[in-house]
Amino acid sequence: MLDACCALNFLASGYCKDILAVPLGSQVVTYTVADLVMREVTALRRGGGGEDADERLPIDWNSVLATGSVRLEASATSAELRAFVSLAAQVDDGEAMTIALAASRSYGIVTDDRKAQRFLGDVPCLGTPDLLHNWHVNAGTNAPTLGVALRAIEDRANFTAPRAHPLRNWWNAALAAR
Amino acid sequence: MQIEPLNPKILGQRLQIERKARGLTQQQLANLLRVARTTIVAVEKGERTLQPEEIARLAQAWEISISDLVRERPAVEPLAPQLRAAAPSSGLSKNDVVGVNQTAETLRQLGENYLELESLVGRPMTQNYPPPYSLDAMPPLEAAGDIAVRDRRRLDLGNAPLPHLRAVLENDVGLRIFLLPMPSRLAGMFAFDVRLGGLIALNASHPVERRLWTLAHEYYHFLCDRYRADVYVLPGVSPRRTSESERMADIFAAHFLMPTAGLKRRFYELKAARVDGVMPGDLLHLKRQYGVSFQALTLRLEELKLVRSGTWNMLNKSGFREREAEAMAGLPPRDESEPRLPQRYLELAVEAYDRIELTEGQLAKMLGCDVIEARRMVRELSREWVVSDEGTTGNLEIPLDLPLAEMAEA
Repeated sequence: MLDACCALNFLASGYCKDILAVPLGSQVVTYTVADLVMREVTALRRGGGGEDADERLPIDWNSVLATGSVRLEASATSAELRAFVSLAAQVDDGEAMTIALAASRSYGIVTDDRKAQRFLGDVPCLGTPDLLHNWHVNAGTNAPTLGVALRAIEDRANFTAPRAHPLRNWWNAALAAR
Repeated sequence: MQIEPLNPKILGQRLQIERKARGLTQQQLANLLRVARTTIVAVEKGERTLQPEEIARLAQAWEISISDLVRERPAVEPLAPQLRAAAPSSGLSKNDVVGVNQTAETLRQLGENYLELESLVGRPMTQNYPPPYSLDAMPPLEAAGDIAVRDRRRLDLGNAPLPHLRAVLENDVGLRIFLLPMPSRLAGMFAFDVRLGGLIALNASHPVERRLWTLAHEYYHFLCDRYRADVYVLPGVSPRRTSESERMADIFAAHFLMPTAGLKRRFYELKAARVDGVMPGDLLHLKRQYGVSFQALTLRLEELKLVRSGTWNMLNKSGFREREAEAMAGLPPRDESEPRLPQRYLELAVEAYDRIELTEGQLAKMLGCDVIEARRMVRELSREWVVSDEGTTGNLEIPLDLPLAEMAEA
């Protein structure tokens, strides 16, 4: 399950389909986004150095879904709904639904959110830096392309690898590559 | 994965608050959910809980998140009743009345957020509230000026201009001040809540000088009639009869923002520098110092007999336009931007996020922006600007969660 904060980052990179198409180890992965998440993630920053850099550009989810890199999950069972409502007492709605569906369906979850990670239990978890590193290492993405993607994520989604993240040094080195 | 079941008492309390905020009866809510009224009674008492499908349906009907319905957080009683009672009984358009109700509800929600943040971080607001000022034996309109002098003394403000009055009232008094969208005739509102203390809302679309005046006006109501709400309505084209309380609030604002001794001294300094007497351009510079409108300054100078009575009327009728005059005088455009939310609120929100008490989505909601903007604010509020010995500026990212004693020396 792909949560809102990571979906935003991959869409900002300009290489969302490529990043999500890379297998994790030997496993081909299908990424799913909850309907609630799609309704929360609606726009990206234009970016660039111009006066309009802060302008928001709408995300065309239909186009994203059409690429096949992400599928939409619009329904939940009664048990999943119950779990979602209970989790919503701790985290926001998008995170709550993502966790509820992941736990119920034995999916992994892609999230950078530290509070959400506290409620995952045994649900396997990766974050934005992990998938970008995977794209770099397992798809052989060249350094200039990786640098472009990371700079776009920082510019259009205002995201950077957290200070304490194990891949922070890798991220900074990759940013500097041209 | 262990998921805690919902706490029926928390849900029940929240349901009641949200129902009352929307002016609904228990029967009306029961109809909305297609349940019996007795069910709503039991839910609000915490004796039973709603089904997840019912909670989801309610959140959709009320256009709020499920998290807002089920999350444990401090509850603030609706402010709309006290603010509606404070609004003038006539002269308000339907749009204005809607504006009062909407602002009241927004203020309540922001107040709840503020309390929640203080609870998460463990830092309640320090209040430096004086006992309400009494008018003593002075004529009311003179008392207003006297209270201004006394409160400046209490806060050790001297006679200087107060363009940063908001920061003083938030940090040194402990008021909660927000800039909110309102119909243009509404300048501001004041309300008091037992848990929150004094709350002030200013019209975000008004010019900065008007907002400063409104702030001082509402501060008067806090100082002198704390438990009665106020809605400050501009007189409009046909001024209605203003209550004595509102007139006193405006007199207080004039004296508090432009204290007599300091204003006289600055005026005479200007006069001494001019052979032919003080000019309108000089007054533009003076009004910039005080952060008030040209009209407010000129009327105050008339009151102090420093300029001829009728000076403002004369200038106004001759087509004086404040912003054009400022541009002609070479004054840079006034910075109209001001944070919608109190600085302390922003800092508490970022700290709560850094302490992993909020998700990114919850933080964005608290800040009233999208996640991208929330990330920018976290970065900004986590940084300290430094200036090197060579004079170049840069930023030093400081970890908010590391005790000072543990920070390594550079």
